[in-house]
Amino acid sequence: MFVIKGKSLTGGTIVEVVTGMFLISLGMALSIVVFSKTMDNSNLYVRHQAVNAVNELIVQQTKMMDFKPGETDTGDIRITCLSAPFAGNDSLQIVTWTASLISTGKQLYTRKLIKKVVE
Amino acid sequence: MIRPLKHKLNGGALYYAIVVILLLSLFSSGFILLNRIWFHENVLFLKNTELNDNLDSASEWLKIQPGLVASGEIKELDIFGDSSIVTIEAKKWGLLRLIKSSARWRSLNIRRTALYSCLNNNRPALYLADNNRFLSLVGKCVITGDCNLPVLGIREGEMDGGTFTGKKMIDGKISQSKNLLPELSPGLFKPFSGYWDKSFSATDSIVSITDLTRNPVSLVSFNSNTKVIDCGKNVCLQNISLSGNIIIVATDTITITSSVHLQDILVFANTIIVANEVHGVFQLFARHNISIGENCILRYPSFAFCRAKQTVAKITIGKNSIVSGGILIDSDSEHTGSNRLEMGEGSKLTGTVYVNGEVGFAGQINGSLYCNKFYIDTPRAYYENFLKDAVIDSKSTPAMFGSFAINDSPDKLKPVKLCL
Repeated sequence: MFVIKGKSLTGGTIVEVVTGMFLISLGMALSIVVFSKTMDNSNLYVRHQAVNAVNELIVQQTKMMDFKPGETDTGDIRITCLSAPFAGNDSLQIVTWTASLISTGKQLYTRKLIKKVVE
Repeated sequence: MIRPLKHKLNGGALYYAIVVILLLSLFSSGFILLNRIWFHENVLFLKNTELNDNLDSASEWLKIQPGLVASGEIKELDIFGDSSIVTIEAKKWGLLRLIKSSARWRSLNIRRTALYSCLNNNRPALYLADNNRFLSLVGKCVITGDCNLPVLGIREGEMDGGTFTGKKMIDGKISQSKNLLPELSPGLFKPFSGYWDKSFSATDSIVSITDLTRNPVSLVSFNSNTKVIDCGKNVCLQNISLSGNIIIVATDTITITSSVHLQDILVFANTIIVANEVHGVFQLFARHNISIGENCILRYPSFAFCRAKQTVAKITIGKNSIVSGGILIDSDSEHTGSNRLEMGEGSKLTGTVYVNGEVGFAGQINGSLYCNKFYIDTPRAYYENFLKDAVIDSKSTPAMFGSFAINDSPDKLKPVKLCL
């Protein structure tokens, strides 16, 4: 029999403990579901891949000084590079890189920078 | 009536309540922790990248359009028109520009402090004021870039039996110069001219020379107040290392020896003497005279500025010494003829060299040279407007580094370094 400090627990208490344990396991299960769902939704792994791919492309393009609009596929990710004129100065442009999943088209990561227009 | 003392809970229920509360608090803290990790991993990462991109973009904008934030101004720029606010503060650090930029999101505040040099698009290799004399070239002279010359023009000269032996006298366009050099903008040196008279700024942290004895190694961030070391009348700097936001001031003479390590600091005195074999990065501001010894290397961006008040301004560069940044000689008075730059054999200057006076040319200039006349003093004769074995190149890579803008309205800013 379950004994605490030499006192025996009554039947009612044992029911309460069992109910409590049941509720706790329910809570744990719920939290695991919520956690995994959150992780799924965040697409952490894919997002990290997208971040790396976009950053790598920006470094490459900055080296080459070439920010032509276009699409680049890296694994499951498509990076779209767009450029728009910058209102503040004609010799500058706003370049936007957007990484999205090829399968679903879901946007994962975006970066936007002002770059010099290459003549 | 309810009597609480009558309804006693048994011991088991109490244990049960405590355990449940404990577990509930564990779950709650778990969720808070999860939220925090999620926040840090994702949102902060994304925001951090965004803020850094905004700072990069602001820097790119400012480099192309330096007038966007004038020196002494603080402006908030909406970079992309979507409330991507970047705050920019511009001020002078000697002949350079100190730009402090910051971008903020909630408690995340990213700051950058950087030094920039100035560059104008139309930089002549040589601007020689029209003093009704030819420019005569002797020996292997190489002048690359556009030139503004006197109306009489350029010719092959003869000196001590030698003539011009180069391939082409000038590799660039030639235009006519005016009687006077392009005027220096007063704004170029106004923010700092008070230091010669020890009129310090209200935000300066002023210490006496004894501070150098106590702290021979000192590094001051550009994000804190400027440390001004008042050295009294004369000082000889030895075995010290000063870096960053520091200004050294003396009323008469400052001597810098080779045991001194100076990085980015400003030096103000009437006369500044740089001993032989001094290496470092610093800006010198003198009233009368700057003497740079032999085999000195003043790395980029270093400047020597001499502006006389009712006297003659003179800068001497020793043999095989290098000054990368710029040279400026001028005077308040109208009698600028006696102002002088003396270049030692094998000396190399990079950037803009502006001499409202005469130049004793020897060595090489990678950048632009503005002067009233040249002179060569030999035991046999004194030659005016003669250049012998001179190399002036405004199209070389070091010439593109940036220096100071004579009109104080540069076309471009060039990033020099990120500061602490």
